[in-house]
Amino acid sequence: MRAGRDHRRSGRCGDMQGHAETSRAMQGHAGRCREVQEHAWRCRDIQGGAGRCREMQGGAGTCRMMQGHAGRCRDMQDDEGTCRMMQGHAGICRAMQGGTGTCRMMQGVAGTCRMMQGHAGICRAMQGGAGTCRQGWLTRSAPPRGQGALPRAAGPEGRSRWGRSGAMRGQHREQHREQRREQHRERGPALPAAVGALCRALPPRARPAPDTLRRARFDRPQASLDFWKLLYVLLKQIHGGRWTESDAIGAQVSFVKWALWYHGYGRPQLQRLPADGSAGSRELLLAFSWLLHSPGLLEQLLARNRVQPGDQTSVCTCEDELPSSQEGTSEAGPEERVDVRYLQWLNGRLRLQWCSLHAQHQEQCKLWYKIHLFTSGSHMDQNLGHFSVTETDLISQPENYKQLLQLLDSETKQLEAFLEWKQLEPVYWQWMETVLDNMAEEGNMCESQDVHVEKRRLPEATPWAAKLTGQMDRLSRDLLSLQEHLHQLVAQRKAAWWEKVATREELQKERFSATARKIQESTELKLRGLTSLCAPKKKMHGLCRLVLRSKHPAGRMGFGQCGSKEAVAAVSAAEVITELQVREASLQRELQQLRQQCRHRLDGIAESLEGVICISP
Amino acid sequence: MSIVTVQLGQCGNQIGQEVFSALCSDIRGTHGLCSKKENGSYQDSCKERFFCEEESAVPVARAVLVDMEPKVISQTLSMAARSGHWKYSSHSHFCQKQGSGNNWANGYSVHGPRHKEAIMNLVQKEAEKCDRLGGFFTIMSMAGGTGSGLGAFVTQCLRDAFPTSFILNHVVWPYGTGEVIVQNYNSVLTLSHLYHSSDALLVHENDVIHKICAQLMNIKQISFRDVNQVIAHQLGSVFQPTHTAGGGSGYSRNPLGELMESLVPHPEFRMLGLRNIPQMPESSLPYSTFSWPGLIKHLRQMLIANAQMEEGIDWQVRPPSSIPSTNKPLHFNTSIANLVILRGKDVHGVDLGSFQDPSLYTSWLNPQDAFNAWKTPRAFNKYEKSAALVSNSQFLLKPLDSIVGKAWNMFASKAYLHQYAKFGIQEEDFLDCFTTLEQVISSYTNL
Repeated sequence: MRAGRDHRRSGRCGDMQGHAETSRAMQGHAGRCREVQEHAWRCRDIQGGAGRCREMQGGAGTCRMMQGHAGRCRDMQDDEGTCRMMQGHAGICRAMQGGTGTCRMMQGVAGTCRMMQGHAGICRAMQGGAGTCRQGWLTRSAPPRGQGALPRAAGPEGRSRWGRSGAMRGQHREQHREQRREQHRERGPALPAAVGALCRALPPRARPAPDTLRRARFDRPQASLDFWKLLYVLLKQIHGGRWTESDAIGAQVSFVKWALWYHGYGRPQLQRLPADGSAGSRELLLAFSWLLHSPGLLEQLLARNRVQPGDQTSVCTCEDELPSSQEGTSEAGPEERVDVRYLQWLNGRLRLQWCSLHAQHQEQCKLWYKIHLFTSGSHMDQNLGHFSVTETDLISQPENYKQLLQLLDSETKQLEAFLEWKQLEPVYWQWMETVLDNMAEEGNMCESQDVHVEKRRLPEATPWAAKLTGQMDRLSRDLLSLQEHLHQLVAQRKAAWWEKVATREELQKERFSATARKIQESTELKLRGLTSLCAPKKKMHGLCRLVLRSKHPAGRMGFGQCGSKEAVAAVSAAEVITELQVREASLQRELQQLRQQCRHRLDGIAESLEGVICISP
Repeated sequence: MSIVTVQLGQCGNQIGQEVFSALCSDIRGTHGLCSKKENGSYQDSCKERFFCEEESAVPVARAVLVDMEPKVISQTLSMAARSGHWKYSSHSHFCQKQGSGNNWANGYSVHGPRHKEAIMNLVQKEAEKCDRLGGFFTIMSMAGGTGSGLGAFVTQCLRDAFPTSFILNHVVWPYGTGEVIVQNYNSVLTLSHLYHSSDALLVHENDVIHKICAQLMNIKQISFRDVNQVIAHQLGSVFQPTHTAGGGSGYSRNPLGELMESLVPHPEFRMLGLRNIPQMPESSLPYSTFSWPGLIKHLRQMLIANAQMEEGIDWQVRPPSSIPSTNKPLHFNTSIANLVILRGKDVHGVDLGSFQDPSLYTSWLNPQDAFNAWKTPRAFNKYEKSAALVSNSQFLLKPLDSIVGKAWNMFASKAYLHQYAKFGIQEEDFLDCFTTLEQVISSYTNL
C-alpha cells in the first residue's frame, strides 16, 4: 500500500495538472481582463439593495458619512487608475515577452531595414502636414552625394534660431534652397507660435519648454533628459497610468522604448540610445513627432484628461480579438527558459490583483448608490435628479470650487492652444522635414541606400500589426468554418430527411407531412442561430455617466457620453449586463473548449511516457 | 475594507473570541507610542476591518459563529459581552444540540449540507454590512469533527458563493500525541479539502504554542485559554493595520488581498506559518529593551533554521552558498515567500536587507517578488517593538509528512474506515485526499 502511495508521488501527475492549468489560464487571460470591466457593471447589489437605504434616511450623521464616501470614492478612482495602469503594463509585458527575439534583432545591425519604417512614419506625417512639402521631399530624394555634410547659409536674424545655416553647393540644390527660403520667410514667425501652441496643448505635467524642441533639433544633450521625461509622461498617460516622479531615469527610458515599440515605432537608432538618457535628443524629437501624428496623440490626451463632473464608468462590448495562440514559442533557446512555476506565480498574482480590483469596484458601486440615492431630487437638471461624487464633494466643501475652476480654466486654455496648433500644424511638419533632412545627411545615407531595395515591412511581432493580420486570419477562418458548418448541417438534414421519408412513406400521408414540416422548422431555427452568430453586433465603447433611475426597473442608466471617439448612447445598465452575460457565456464555452483541447494534448503526452501513471484532472 | 470572520467549532469559537478581545484591547490601549493622528487612523482602520458600529454603544464584531453544540457559543457570547468593550451581534450565531463526535465525515457530509442554508444566510448578511468585503477569515481546528468537517464544507460554500473574495483559513494543528484517535484521518481530509477551496492556510501547531507558553511565557499549568491567547496575539500582530508597500500614505485597506498577493499566488504552495518576536509575559515587559537589528537577526535565524521560537535557535544553520547546488545543507528551511511585519518605534529606518538574500528563496523567484514588509510606528499590545513573520516555506513539511504517513498506515490496515463510510466518505475519497497532499509534500520538497 505504501508502495502505491510512492507510486503516486513519483507520478508527478500534479505537475501535469499544473501545466494544463497554466496554459488554460494564459489563454483565458485576456478574457479575464475584459471581465473586470464587465463586473463593474454588475451592480446587482445596487439594484436589489433597496433594503439598504434604511440607514441612509438618517439625519446629519449621514451627511458626515457622505463626505467620507465622496472622499473614498475619489481614492477609489485613483486606485482604479493604478489598476488600469497595471493592465497597460500587462499588455506591454506581454508584448515584451512575445517580442524579445525580434527586439534583439532590431537592436542588431542586421535590422537596418527597420530604420526606414521610422522614416516612413515621419514621411507619412509630413505628407499630411503640407502639400508644398511633399514636392520638396520628392525633388530632394536624390541629392548630390559625396559632398559630406553641407554647411548652410545663415538666415536672417529672426529665424536663424529655427532655420538652417551654411553655404550650398550644386545648382539643383541652390534652386531648391531658394524655394525653401521663400517658405521660410513666410513661416518665420509662425514656427515659434506653432511650437508654443503645441507645448501648451500638451497636458500640464508633460509640457516642455518650447526651447527644448529647438535644442533637440540640434541634438543637444541638455534636451534629451527633458525629452525622455516628456515621452515617458505622455506614454504613461496613454496607457492609463499615473506617472511618478520617483521613477528612475533608467526605468523611464526602458518604458519609453518598449512603449514606442509596442505602438509600432521600430527605429533601431532609438532602441540604441543610452539607458541613462544622456543623449539622443533629436532622435527623441523624431519619435515624439511620430507619436504626435500617428495615434492622434493630442486628441487622445485631451479626451483622457477632461474634467469630469459626473460619475462615470466605462462600457466596452467590443470583441477584442485574442491573439491567436502561438505554437512556435516552445522553441525558445535554453537561456530563455523560464521555470513554469514562476509563470504560475505571476498568473496567480494577476488573479489575486483582479480579485482586489473587483472588490474595489463593488465598493465604488455601493458608495455611488448611497450618494445617488441620498441626493436624489436635489439636482437642478431634471434628467439627472441627483448629485455626482464631485458635486456632493463641492457641497460639503465649497472651497473646492476654486480648484475645480482652476482645472476647468486650464483645460480651456489647453483646448484653445489645441485649436491654434491645428491651424499652425503644417509649419511644424515642414520644420520637422528639415530636421529629418539633416539627420539623413549626417551619415545615415549609406545605410539607408541598401534599404531602398528591400520591401517595407512592419515588424511582425508588434501586437499593433499582429492584431490586424490576426483579425484577417480569424475572419477567413471563421468564414471557412461557417461554410463548413452550413454544408454539414444541410447534408445532415438531407440525410435525416431522406431517412425519415423512407420510413414514413409507408405511414399515413398526413403524419408524414407534419413531420416534414417539423424538420423544416428545426432546420430553419438552426440556420437562424447561425445567421445571428454572423450578424454584426452593436458595439459600445467609451465612458458613460451613471444616473440612477428609480422609476425604471432597469435601475441605472448610462447617460451622456464623453471620452472616446464614438459616443455611447443612453443605455440601461440591465441591457449592458445582459449583453455582457451573453458574452461571458460564450467566452466560458470557448475556455471550456480550450481546456478540453489541452487535456487531450496532455493525455497524448502522458501516453507516450512509459512507466508513469497520470491521473487526468 | 472589512473582513468577515467565521468561527467554526469549539476551537474556532474560543480562538475567535480571543482574537477579537486582543484586537480590541490593543486599540483601546494607551501604549501606542505614536502621534495622536497615527493612533486615530490606526483605530479607525482596525474598527473598519473587524468591527461594525451600529447604534449600540460598543463595537460589534464582524463575525459568524457556528457550532453544533450550544455550550461553547453561549460561553463565547457572554464572555465578549462581559468585557464591555465589544460584543458579538445577537443574530449571527448558529448552533445545534448534537455535536459531530470527532467524526469529520459527520460534519462534512451530514451537518454541513443540512444546515448550509442557515449558515450561508448569516454569512451573506454579515457580508452585506461591509462597504467593501475584503474577504473571509475562518478559524477552525484541523482534527476535530465540527470545526474541521463542517469547516471544510463551509469553506467550499464560501468559495461557491463568493468566487472572487479572498478566503484565509486559520487551522490549528493537533498535538502530536493526539487527543483523538482519528485525528490524522481528519487532518488529511481537512487539509486536502481546504487546499482546493481556500486561498491560503495559516497554520498554528498546538505543540509549538504549548512550548512557547511553557518556555517564553513561564506558565506552569497551561490551559487552552493560554494557548489561544498566544495564537490571538500572533494573529493580531499580522492583521492589525499596517502601511504596506503599495498602499500609499494611509493604512492598507486590503490586508487579506495584499497578504495573499505577496505570499500565495502559486496554487500549489498555500501553507503559511507564523513566527513572532519578542514574546514574553506582560510582567517582564517593562524590564526589557529591544533593538531592531537584534530582533531582525533572530527572526531571520528562526526562519532559516526552522525554529519555532526565539529560544533554542540553531545558529549553525547557514544559507547555502550562492552557487545553486542540488544538495542544500541539512535543516535549512527554504522559503517561497516571506512577509515581515514590524510594529513600533523607529520602524522606518530598519534594515531588512538580510531577508532579501536570494539564497533564502527558491531558485525560480527573485527576492523582489518573494519578500515584502509591512510597517507601522504604532506599537502593538504593549510591546515597544515587535516583529512578525508570515512565511510560505518548508516550515510545515515535516509535520505534514508525519501526519500523512500516520494516516496512511492506519488506512493501509483499514482502521476506522467504516466510521467514515457510514456518512458517505469512501476509500476513494481518502485516496484522492492522499494524492493531493502527496503532491503538496513533493512540491515543497523540491524547492
